[in-house]
Amino acid sequence: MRVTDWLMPWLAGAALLVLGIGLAWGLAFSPPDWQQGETVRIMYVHVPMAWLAMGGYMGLVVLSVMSLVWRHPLADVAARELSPIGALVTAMCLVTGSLWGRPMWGTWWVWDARLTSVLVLFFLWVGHAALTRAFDDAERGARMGAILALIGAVNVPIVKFSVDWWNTLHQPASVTRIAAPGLHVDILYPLLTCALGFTLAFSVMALAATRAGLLERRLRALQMAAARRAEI
Amino acid sequence: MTWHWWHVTLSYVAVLGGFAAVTILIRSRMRAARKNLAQLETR
Repeated sequence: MRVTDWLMPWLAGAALLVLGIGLAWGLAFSPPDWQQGETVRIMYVHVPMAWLAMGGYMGLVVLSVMSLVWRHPLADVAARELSPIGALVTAMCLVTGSLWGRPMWGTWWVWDARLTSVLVLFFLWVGHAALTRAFDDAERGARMGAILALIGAVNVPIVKFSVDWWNTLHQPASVTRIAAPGLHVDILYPLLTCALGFTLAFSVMALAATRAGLLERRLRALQMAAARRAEI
Repeated sequence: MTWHWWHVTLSYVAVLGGFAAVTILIRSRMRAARKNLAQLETR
């Protein structure tokens, strides 16, 4: 708690600064794409949301392992608080993808492998958030949520490699291609800046939500102790 | 504003609005928990 007290204002300040620079760079100073025109600017918010949806889920998997193997209560609280934020970024990935798809593909949605697997990822996040809150016994909810998160981990490589394994309308990876990124630096650098800014913002939100969850847990424990004292 | 710019604007508003809404929600949760804890601890 003390470490996060010290860390959070710095992280929040860094997130605002990097995000401000990245978004201004992407919106005003990066060139339009020769094929997509101005619509390419949606990439500066869409791609970081996609990376966070998958990266955040891997974080949830790590927390779930910690919860199941070491029964770490902090991992339980962090996982419970991470899932609504993960659901938000995955929803934002789908919404911005749809807003990008309409002018470029002529449709808001297609049931191709990439879009469908990201939708499944969204349902996994929502399912985890619902399941961990569905039990009166928080520990049991955390166990069930951890099992669901581990089963759902199968979907992460499917999301990543869906564009290689199947013929999709969604384009293949262009930034994380090992040989050479398929983006010009004028577009790549603002994208990486935005990705860093959103990652910092995501981390601040996850930390703050975990702190709020811990405070609420302490409050409930004190309220129950007070109620027990009143009964006696 | 062209049709393409509308889509760009809506994307940024959706993402930044979503982040702002969650931040406000977490802050209000934290404030409420701190207030209730302080009340309990002073009893």
